[in-house]
Amino acid sequence: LRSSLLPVARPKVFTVLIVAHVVLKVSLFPYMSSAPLHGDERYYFDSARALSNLVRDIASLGTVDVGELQRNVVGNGWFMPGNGIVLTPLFVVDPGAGITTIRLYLGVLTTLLLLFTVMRVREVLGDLYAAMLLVFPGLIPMWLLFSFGGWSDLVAGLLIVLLLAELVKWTRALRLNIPPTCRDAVRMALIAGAVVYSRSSASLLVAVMGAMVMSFCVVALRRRALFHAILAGSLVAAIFGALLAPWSLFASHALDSTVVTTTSVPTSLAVAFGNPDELCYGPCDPTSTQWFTPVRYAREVARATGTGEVGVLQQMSSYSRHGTTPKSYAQAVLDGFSRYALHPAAFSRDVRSPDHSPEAVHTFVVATTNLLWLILAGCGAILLLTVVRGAVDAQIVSLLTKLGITSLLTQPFVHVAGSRYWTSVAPLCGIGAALLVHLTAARRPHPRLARPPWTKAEHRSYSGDAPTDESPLRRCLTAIQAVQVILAVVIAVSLVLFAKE
Amino acid sequence: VSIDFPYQVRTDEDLYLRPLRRLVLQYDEVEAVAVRDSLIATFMRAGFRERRSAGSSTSIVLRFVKEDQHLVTITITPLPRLAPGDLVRGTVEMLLPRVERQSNDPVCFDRFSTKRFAAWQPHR
Repeated sequence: LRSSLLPVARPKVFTVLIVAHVVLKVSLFPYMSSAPLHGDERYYFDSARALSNLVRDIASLGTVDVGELQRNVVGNGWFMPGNGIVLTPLFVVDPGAGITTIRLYLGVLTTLLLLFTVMRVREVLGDLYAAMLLVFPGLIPMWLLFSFGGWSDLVAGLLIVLLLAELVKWTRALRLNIPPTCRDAVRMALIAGAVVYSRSSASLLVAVMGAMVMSFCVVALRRRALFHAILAGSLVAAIFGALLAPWSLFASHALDSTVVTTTSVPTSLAVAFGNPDELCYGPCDPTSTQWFTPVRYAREVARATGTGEVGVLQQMSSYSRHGTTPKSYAQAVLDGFSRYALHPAAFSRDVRSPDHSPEAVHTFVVATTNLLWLILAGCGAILLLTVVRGAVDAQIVSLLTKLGITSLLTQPFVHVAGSRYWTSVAPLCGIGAALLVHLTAARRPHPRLARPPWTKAEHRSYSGDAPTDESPLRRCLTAIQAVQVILAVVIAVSLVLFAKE
Repeated sequence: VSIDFPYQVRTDEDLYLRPLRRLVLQYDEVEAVAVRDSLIATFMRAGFRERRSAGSSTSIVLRFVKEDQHLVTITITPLPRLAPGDLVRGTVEMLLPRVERQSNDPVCFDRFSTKRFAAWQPHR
C-alpha cells in the first residue's frame, strides 16, 4: 500500500504549500494594504455599497433606491455585479470600511476560495493537481497582490477550475452510464452562474464547456440515461438562466436596451481596432478617457433620438471600424496578446501603499512573477499543442483545459487586453501544468507523481450495460484534441502572417 | 431660433481671429435635404432672410441675414459611407454672431454641457 501512496500525497506537502501561500500573502499585504482604489476597482466598490444599501432597505422594509442601483450597480453596463455581491457583506456590516479593511477582507476571502478549490480539485483530480494549484497561481506574488484587489478576474479564474472539476466528475459518471442527478445540476448551474457573474468574458467558456459536455452525453450515453442527462442539462440551463435573468432584466431596464451580460464589447472593439478619430462619428469629446466619452456621446444620441444607448454604441463601433483591415486587426490582436501575457506584474506599480511599499518588494514582485508566469504560460502553451492519447480521464482533462484556455484567450480578439486578465487563465494553466507533469511522470517505469488515472473498471455502472470498451471514445477524444491543436496553430500562424503582410 | 430635428452639439467656440461663434452639431435620423428645409424654415420664422445659398457635391451651404447685418453661415455635410440604420447622419456647422453667456447656472460652466472645449477659452 505504501508504494501506491505518492510523495505529494503526504499531508506534510500540503501543509508546507498552504503555509508558504499564507506566509507570502501576509508578507505582501502591507505592500498593497492601503493602496487607494485603482481604475475599475472603484466601480465594484460603488456597486457593493449600493447593494449593501439595498440589503439594508429590504431588511428595514424601506423603499428601495432604484436610481442608486441603476447608477452604481449597472452604471454604464460595463461590469457584472459578481464582485460587488462578494463585497456586499462587508459593507452591510461596516458601511464605512476603510481601504485596509476592504483589502484584508478580499485577501481572506480569496485565500478561502483558493483552499476550497484546491480541496475540490484534490478530491476529483488528485494530489498533484491540487498541489500544483497551491504553487501556480498560489505562490505567484502578483497573483497574491491581485487577490487583495477588487477586480474579479482572479475570482473568475478559480471558479473556472471549480467548474472544470465538476465537469470532469460529470463525464466520469456519464462514462458509467450514470446520468447527472438534480443536485449535480443545481451545483453545476450555481458554479457556471458564479463564473459569469464575476466575469462576463468567461461566458463563452461556460457556453463552450456546456456544449462539450452535452455532446459527450449524446456520444456516451444509452437511451434512458441520455434522456436523464438531457433533463439534467435542461435543468442546468434553466437554473443558469434564472440566475442571470435578474441582472439581465435590470441592466436592460436601466440602459433601455437589450443587455444579457455587459455592454462593453462594441466600445471595446472600437477602441481596440477602430479609428479613434471616428468613434463619435468624428472625434469624441476631449478631456476624458476613451471609455467614458463614447458612452457619454451615445447617451446624447440616444436622448436626441429616443433610442437605447447600447444600440448607438454598436453603430458607433461599426462606423469607426470601417477602415479596419486584416493587417491592422491582426496587429491589434497581437498587441492585445502582448498586453495580456507579457507584463504580468505591470499593476504592481499601481497598487502600492503610499508608505509601506519598498522598492525591494516591488522588484521581488516583478522578478518572481515574471519567472513563475513564464513557466506557467509556457505550460499552458505546451498543453495547447499536446494531444493526450492515454487514459480517457486525462484526455478529458486535457480537452476541457484546452477549451477553457482558448475560450479565455478569445478576449484579445474582441477587447483591449490588460495585464490583469492573465489571472483568469492562470489557475487553468496550473491544471495544465499538473497534467503535463502527470503525463511525463506516467511514462516512467515506476511513476511516483502520477496517481493511477481514474478508470471505469473500478466502478460499478448504472445499469450494468455500459460499454466496457472505451477505445471509440478514446479515438474520438484524440481527434477532437488534434482539431484543437491544429486550430490553435492555424490561428496563431495566420495572425502573425496577416500582421506582417 | 430652435432646431426641430434630432441633434447633438459636438463643439461650441468663439473663433480666435473672427468675431464669430462656431457651433458644430450632428443631426440624427433625417437626411441633409430635410435638415436644409428645416433650418431655412426656422431661420425665416425668426426673421432672417436667406441669401446666396450654395452647395458642393459633398455639402450644402446656407447663408442668412437679418436687418442686413447678422450674417449666419450654415454648412450641412452628410457623413460619408452611412449604413442604412445609422442614427447619426451628418454634421451641421454654424457660424453665428457671438453672444455673451446668458446665465450663471452651474451647467453653463460644465464643458460637457456647453461643449466649449477650446483650450484658449475654457469657460467664458
